Amino acid sequence: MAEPILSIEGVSFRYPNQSDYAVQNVSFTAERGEWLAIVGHNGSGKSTIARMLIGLLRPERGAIRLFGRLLNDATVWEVRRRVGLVFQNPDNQFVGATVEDDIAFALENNGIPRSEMVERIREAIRQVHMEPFLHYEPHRLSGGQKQRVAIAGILALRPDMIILDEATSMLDPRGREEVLETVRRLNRQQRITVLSITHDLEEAAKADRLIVMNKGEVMAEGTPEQIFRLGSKLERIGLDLPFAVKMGSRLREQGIPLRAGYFTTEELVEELWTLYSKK
Amino acid sequence: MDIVFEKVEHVYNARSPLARRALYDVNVAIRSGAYVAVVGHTGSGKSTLLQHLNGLLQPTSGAVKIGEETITSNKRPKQLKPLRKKVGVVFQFPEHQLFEETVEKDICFGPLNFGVPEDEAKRKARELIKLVGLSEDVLAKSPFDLSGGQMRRVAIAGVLALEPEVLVLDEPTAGLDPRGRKEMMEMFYHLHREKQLTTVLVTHSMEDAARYADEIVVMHEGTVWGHGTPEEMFRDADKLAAIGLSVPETVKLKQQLEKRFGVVIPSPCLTLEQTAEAIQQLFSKVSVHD
Amino acid sequence: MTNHLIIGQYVPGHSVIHRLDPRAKLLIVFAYVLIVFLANNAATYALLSLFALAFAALSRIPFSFIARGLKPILWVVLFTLLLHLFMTKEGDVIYQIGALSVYEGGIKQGIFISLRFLLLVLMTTMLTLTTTPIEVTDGVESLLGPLKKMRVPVHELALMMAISLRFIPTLMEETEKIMKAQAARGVDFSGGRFSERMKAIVSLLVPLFISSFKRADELATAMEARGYRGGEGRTKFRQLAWKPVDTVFLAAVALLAALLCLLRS
Ligand SMILES: Nc1ncnc2c1ncn2[C@@H]1O[C@H](COP(=O)(O)OP(=O)(O)OP(=O)(O)O)[C@@H](O)[C@H]1O
Ligand SMILES: Nc1ncnc2c1ncn2[C@@H]1O[C@H](COP(=O)(O)OP(=O)(O)OP(=O)(O)O)[C@@H](O)[C@H]1O
Ligand SMILES: [Mg+2]
Ligand SMILES: [Mg+2]
Repeated sequence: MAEPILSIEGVSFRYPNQSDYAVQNVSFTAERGEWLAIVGHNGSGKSTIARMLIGLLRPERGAIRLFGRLLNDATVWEVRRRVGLVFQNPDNQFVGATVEDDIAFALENNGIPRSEMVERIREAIRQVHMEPFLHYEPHRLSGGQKQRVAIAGILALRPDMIILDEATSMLDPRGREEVLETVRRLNRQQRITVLSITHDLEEAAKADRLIVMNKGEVMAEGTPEQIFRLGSKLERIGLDLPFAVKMGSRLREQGIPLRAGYFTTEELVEELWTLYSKK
Repeated sequence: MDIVFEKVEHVYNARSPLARRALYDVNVAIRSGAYVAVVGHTGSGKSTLLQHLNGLLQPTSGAVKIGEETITSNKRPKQLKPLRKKVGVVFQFPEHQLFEETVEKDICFGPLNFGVPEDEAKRKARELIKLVGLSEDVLAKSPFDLSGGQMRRVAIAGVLALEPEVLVLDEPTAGLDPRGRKEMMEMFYHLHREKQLTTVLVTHSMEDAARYADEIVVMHEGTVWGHGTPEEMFRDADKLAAIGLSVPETVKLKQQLEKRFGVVIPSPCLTLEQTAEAIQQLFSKVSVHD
Repeated sequence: MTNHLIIGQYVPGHSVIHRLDPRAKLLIVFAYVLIVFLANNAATYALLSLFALAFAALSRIPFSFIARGLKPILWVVLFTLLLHLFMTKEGDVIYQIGALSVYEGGIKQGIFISLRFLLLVLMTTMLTLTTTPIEVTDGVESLLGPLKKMRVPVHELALMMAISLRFIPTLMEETEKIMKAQAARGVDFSGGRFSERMKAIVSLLVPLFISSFKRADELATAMEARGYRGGEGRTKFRQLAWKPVDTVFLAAVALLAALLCLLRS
């Protein structure tokens, strides 16, 4: 097995002047090109983890390794170049006066020569399909468009990993789909590792692997199939289940002998059809 | 209170180079006691529509009738306060409106503005804090020491404290986790039933619209695209898809089943329970034929 | 609300004035503001006015639009005019209303001073009408560049200015939202007793402060996450390019100054 691109080992964190740990003894890894989803109730420590991963917060205990190197003061700037973080609020992460200025911001910070910037900005804006908006000010963009600009800002640095911290939760369904589709494409085509923090279980169901947080700790980790098998255990900690899973278990309760282990409506229909035709 | 929109148009920054028409030719009637969901793509005019319900915005042409009151472009009730008391509005991210030192004061703020005596306002605050699912000892705390979800509940209690007849909700569950979302929607539904409120809910969740609403108003590019029962509105998934909207997962399942099985499922399949029932029937029919 | 006040508003365009280097425009306007004070007779004022009018005409912004924007300051101009009309007692008496007499010097002074004020406002308005806020910021940063050696945090100041400008529309939107939310809770922002009005203002300002702090905090975090660590080692995307036409315009101002010196009495 290849060396993981990210590994965090026994990490704990407490905010200043707080007695409770926001994150406690958390460990997990991510492989290159993987799509990892982190789910958990409000306040379960998801954003805290994201912030630690790019050195915005420093763990009280434990170690974070990225690209085979320990995250510390010496490596933090390189990590911030290679790992992009998209936050929840589209407005509060738009620094530039216009779209191109915003994309340029991180390039400027990293001392990229101006001639190269122009090239990279053009390339990044194309990847998020926002070419016509290059000179727009933020107040003329929708939330989803702003989030795509944020992603372009990250892409311009040619990152290895993108972290989405509920980046779609303030968007309408279409805006959400646009953003996710963009990230999915990057994940597939450029093998950019994705760590997606989300409350949307339908989205989580499409991840390669899921991490379930509960009160600052990792409660479970595994493929969507393994995780959704936990069923009502997830509902007890404030989470939802994908529709097909909920429907399936409801039907089983009613005595329809369905198999478990599918998360999409399409799969459920097939499963029902198989049963139906056997009768 | 019946609400009627007649040919309502709203232009922001009218008569200026920045003019922008957000609503036009809106004709909607909402009967007293109904639960109405308003859905539509971003920028379709939902929030603009809502703000006409309590005179925060005035139509630039046409008329809005709310109970006895009529608001037109050049006429509005001299006193908007009575109207604002009858129509409570919970805006998106209502926790941003909190400002008092204690939760109790914040909940009482609205009623006091409308001239409710202080001890009665306080009594109401105690009653409401439980209704929104928080404990009474929260009342003495500063609203800014609470978690996001708790702050949202306090803000909602502050609107409910006006004892409105019409409750207007603009995406009240955005940003909450699934459990928080479900609890909150159930709470509004409970209130709707118990206090016989007229409820107008703006939502992006077709599931919530299908589950709770008696009627759905579909907005598209500034005007009403469709208005009917959930069953009627969700009948044609393709047409909705064309304006950027989807149907609830249950309806998707129903439609896929109908296609795969080559049958017609009579149930509208608006909720999980209904759909499970319908599938059960599908299967039992087979057993009968055996 | 903002419709009538065009000062500080950018009007997109591609005129020669729009395309001038912001540094050139800043220097032109700055120099103009200084040399306005050289004028002291009809010839010099005529010259200054001519220059300002030519500048405005070259911007291709409809004159009616500029005039409409200047309207709000007309009463200030009028007031200056009247003040000088009655206060300056020089030359012959031209007109007498009761105890008030208007002198020739008064008329002259009044017209000159209000014209001076009008020209100042016109030229600074032309700057903001034809230059985006971010260009102004870039221009200021570049012009103040030499101060970096004196440890003045020019880069930080410029960034601060750019971010404030970027957030003005956002804050205005936010203000409107909070006002509406409080209005729905029975707050009347337009009237009421003093204590009620104070309460109304508090109910607006507290949420506005809190959300601004939160925004500032989130923005700072986002900037750090994107690798911001001060001006050191930073490259710049926006680059200013000084063109021959910029030199020509500056030369025109120098010429104007020379002519004013010659023609003033
Ligand atoms: N700046 C802070 N100071 C003190 N405590 C904090 C701070 N930020 C978060 N916390 C606390 O740390 C815990 C974890 O918060 P975190 O933001 O990581 O949760 P989350 O899983 O991202 O939640 P959400 O789904 O609401 O975004 C919570 O109990 C929260 O109240
Ligand atoms: N205060 C305002 N000034 C100018 N234009 C506005 C204002 N508020 C909204 N608009 C414009 O009016 C149109 C309708 O906006 P509205 O907020 O009603 O949409 P919405 O359906 O609520 O969208 P969303 O789902 O994003 O909340 C949009 O084009 C918007 O840009
Ligand atoms: Mg979070
Ligand atoms: Mg809205």
